[in-house]
Amino acid sequence: MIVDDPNSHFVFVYHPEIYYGKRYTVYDGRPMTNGEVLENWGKWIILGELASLEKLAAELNSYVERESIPVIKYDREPPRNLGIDECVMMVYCDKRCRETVWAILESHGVKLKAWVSEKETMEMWSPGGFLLERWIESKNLDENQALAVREDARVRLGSVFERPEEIFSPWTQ
Amino acid sequence: MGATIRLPGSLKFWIGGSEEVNCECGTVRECIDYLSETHPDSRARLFDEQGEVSSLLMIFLNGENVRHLDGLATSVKDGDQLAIIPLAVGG
Repeated sequence: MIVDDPNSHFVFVYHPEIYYGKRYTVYDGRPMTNGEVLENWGKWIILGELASLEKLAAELNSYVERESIPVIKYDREPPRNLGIDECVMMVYCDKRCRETVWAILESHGVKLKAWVSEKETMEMWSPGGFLLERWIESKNLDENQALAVREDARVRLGSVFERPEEIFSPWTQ
Repeated sequence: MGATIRLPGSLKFWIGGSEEVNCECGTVRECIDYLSETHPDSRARLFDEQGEVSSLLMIFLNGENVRHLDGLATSVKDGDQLAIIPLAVGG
């Protein structure tokens, strides 16, 4: 199910039961903990023009509905404030299933193969991390605003690192 | 046969409009050097002012970030796929 909410920067491809409490950070039928997400969760990165990603998302939707792919998100427009001139699609899965998911992507014409772990991404969005600091810079935030953004990131992402036994809860994007 | 170096569409101007280049190199570092030697427009983007491979790039060998392998010294063999993307894409 493709969810294109204009209030979000991202377009998502979810399993339809997401609205009935279905989780996508699941492995072997069990919700993943923060620690398991940091160790195993990640995504294949696909870059392209919006039209090509929209076409691919439509093709991949059935795999999400069949639970062969847990969840997908992609940019509605290139995140130029981060220095990127293409839209980015992220096809999420557990590292232990990633080659199966890659085979699906390859069968739909994806060639550039790049896996980024969620841990790496969270580190980049943590205070002092490359992406968070670039984002703050791009928004011309004053010092107090920047501190508030860093504190929000510290609380939100820090809990994932500090409480590895808790069940992982994704946040709204 | 060699290895294939792939770049996303937005970076293909680095290599003359193509999205991939074939090379016969023994390590990731040699692949990057080959790319910069054969496509000089890419040099300023591949390397920083100190001549080190830019920290603003992520380099993958067969999908795996070379940081998790042996870095730039990672061996490359026939049929391998090297991918280079901007670091910012990883978020």
